Formats: sequence, C-alpha cells, structure tokens
Amino acid sequence: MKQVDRCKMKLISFTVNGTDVKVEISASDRLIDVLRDKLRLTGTKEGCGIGECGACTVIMNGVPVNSCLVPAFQAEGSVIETVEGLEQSGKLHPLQEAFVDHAAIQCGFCTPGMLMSALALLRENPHPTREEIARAISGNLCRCTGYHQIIEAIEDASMRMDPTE
Amino acid sequence: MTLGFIRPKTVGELLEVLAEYKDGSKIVAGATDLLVQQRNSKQVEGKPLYLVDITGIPELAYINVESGVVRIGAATTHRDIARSTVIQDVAPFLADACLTVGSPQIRARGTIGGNIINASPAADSLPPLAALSAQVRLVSKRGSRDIAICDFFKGPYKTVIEPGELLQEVFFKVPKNPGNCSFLKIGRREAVAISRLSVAVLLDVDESGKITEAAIAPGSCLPMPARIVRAEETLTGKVPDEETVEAAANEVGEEMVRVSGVRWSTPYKKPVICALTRRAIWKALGVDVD
Repeated sequence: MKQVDRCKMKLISFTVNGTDVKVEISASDRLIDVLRDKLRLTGTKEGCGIGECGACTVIMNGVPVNSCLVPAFQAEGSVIETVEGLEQSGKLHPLQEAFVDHAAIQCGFCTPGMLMSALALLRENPHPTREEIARAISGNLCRCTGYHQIIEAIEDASMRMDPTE
Repeated sequence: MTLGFIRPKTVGELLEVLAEYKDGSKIVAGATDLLVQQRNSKQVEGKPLYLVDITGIPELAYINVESGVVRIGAATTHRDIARSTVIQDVAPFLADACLTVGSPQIRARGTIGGNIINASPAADSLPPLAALSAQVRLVSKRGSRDIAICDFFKGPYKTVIEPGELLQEVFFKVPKNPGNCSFLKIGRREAVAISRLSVAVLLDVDESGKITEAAIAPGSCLPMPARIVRAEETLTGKVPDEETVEAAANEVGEEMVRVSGVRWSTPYKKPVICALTRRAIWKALGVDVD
C-alpha cells in the first residue's frame, strides 16, 4: 500500500472567490487564518473563535461554515467564497445594497458573516419566509441591530435578485 | 500539541494509520468540538498527536436502508441527516434532534460519529439513538465489533473505543411505527444552544390504542445515554391516559435524581424533565399538549 502522507506543513490548493490559490499551511492553521493572514482577505471576521457568533462565516463547497472551526487542511480542493467575492466590477451585490438601504449594519462586524449566510439561503431558496430567514441566520449574532433590519434586508434582496415572484 | 496531519483517502489507509499511531493519533471529522477544545488549551498539555482527517474518505458518509436496517456512516453531517428524506421517514425524531445541533454552520461540519465519540451528556443525537436501540460498529485492522449505543459509554466524555479503532457507522432497525416518536429539547435559547434537558420517545401502539412497546431516553440529565426502563414499563400494555403518562414522566425525574444525585440544578431540572417527558410522550402519540 502506498504510504499516506504525514504533513507538518503542506502546500494546499483551493479556490477562493473563483481564483485558484496555493498556500502553505500547518496542521494547526484554521481556514480563517489562511484567509485573513495568508491571503489578506480580511473581510471575514473572527469574533468568538468557537463557532458561536458566525462572524467568520464563509461558503465552503456551497454551504455556509464557520471558518474558525475548519482546519485549513480540510480546505484542500474545496471551493471557498468570502464576502470579498460579492462585489462585482465595483458594483455591490444586491444583498449588500439591501443591507445598506435597510440600515442593517451598525458596527458592521457581523455583516460579512450575515451576508454569506444570507447568500447561501437565497441560492437554495430564492423567496424565503421571514421564519426561514431567521433560521438561516440563527448561527450569526448581531449585537447592534436587533435583527429586524437584517431580516428585512434579506427579504428585500430576495426580490431584487429574483423579481419574478 | 499537534505534530501534523494525515489525510487518508480510504478506510483501508485510515486503519493502517490508526494501527501505526494508536493513541498518538486523533481522528478529526467536522472539527467543531476539536478546535474549540484546542482553543481552550485542553490539548496543549497532552501527548503530541497526529490529526487524522476522515473528511476526505467518501465511503464514511452515507445513509442507507437495507433489509430493515438503517446505517449512517460516521462522517455523515448533522445537516445531511436532518435533511435526509430517509431519516425523516424512518426516524423523524433523529432528524429533529440533528436539526437542533448548534447552528446551520456547525451542522454543516459536525458529524454524527463525532457527536457519539465526543460522548457529551448533552449530545443531541444520543437520546434518539438510545431510544432506537442503535448499535455502533467499531473497526480496526484486527477486525470489527458491534456495541449497543448505551454500552459504548463509560461516563461523560468517555467511551470504550480502543486506540487503533474507528467508529465506522451507527445502525438501527427501522422502528415499527416511525410516526410515534418525538424529540424535545430545552436550551438557554433556541439556536446555538447546548441542551439543558432533552428527551426522545419512541412508542409502538396497536390498533386498539394500547402501547405495546415504549422507549424513553433523556439527555443532559444522566452521565451517559440510557433508557428509563421504569418509565417504559409504566406505559407498556396501557392505553395512555393522563395519569399513566404523568406517572411515566415522573419516573424519568426520579431516575435522574437516583443516578445523578441532588444538585444545585435539581429544583429546576426535576420538574422540567418530567414536564418535557410528558409532552414528548403525548407528542409521540400525536396529541398536542402544553
């Protein structure tokens, strides 16, 4: 049988916001460390570091995850999306526009994670109910807004992104 | 302390690695417990470890039903179990329990194998698995063994798994009346809440409305998963009425105090686990109660 690699450090490749990247990681690096410190994608925030607050939420292979709880070595070969991927050619994503218009941002620390949870929801369910929105962002804490503006913004964004219904 | 990581691609490779490193290795799947423990520095003083990642082994993530037996691979996520139409059909209370784990982000990574191995008394998947009389399959280079879920634990956060062994899957028989089950949980809030108390109920009811079999397994009130036989016997053979259900529910509170003793939380937990069990029994019978 072929020997399985034992790695202390390893060069891994994955996709971030549509771009292939290669990064050297160690066994104790987390995905958020790679994103923020090695790739300088500092839009993703670290709040609690234990998966309670959701500020570090990114989309991994189509699913929102806490990047503070993903060992970097598990990212090999994966497709990662961060808040930096939302804006396209200088134009904000409809979700970002709706967050601005509804004052769904105060301190802004939770916003990148909120946006990624919301984006994952709207891709799967283009016209969610308020209850479904609340569930989708139940892993994201906001200590400023009281959530109402955020839920309204996501509801509005769903109309902006898919006005057919 | 982490020495490095190893990512086997097959169960065969994995078992080789486990046989070589034994207790110098630690299996990691969703990492949602491991990275929190590492942050809390619990691992720092311990023996240096190789992390053995099993998320690159597709053959460990599956849900299937064959000859009336449901098998769930250890690396299957809570998200996949909660969303599985198979589990929603054959054991809806297990889907419900997996849906109450953490948050969407945690459910997307955390696995049922990890929930079992971590052996928290508050683990959400364990009460339904105990009620289903589930078994776990442990495999190593030497062979495999099956253990009833309630015998798998030695105490809080302790199991009988040996170095070199892999928890490959958890399996259980399709219940006779999958509709007659329920899982209720109380946390400090609705989302991202560790269970304060929970209970799983699975009943078999005949045409006359008589309960022919009952399984009641509470969570967060015993050191490890267990069925409450006295409560089950109180229901068995009866057509449920308020008095019987109340009596069965009270047995769960009594058992909690017998096993776990009187604690600072008992004045709260005892009446609440009784009320929660009463509601769960009625819910399993399809009756809405407050």
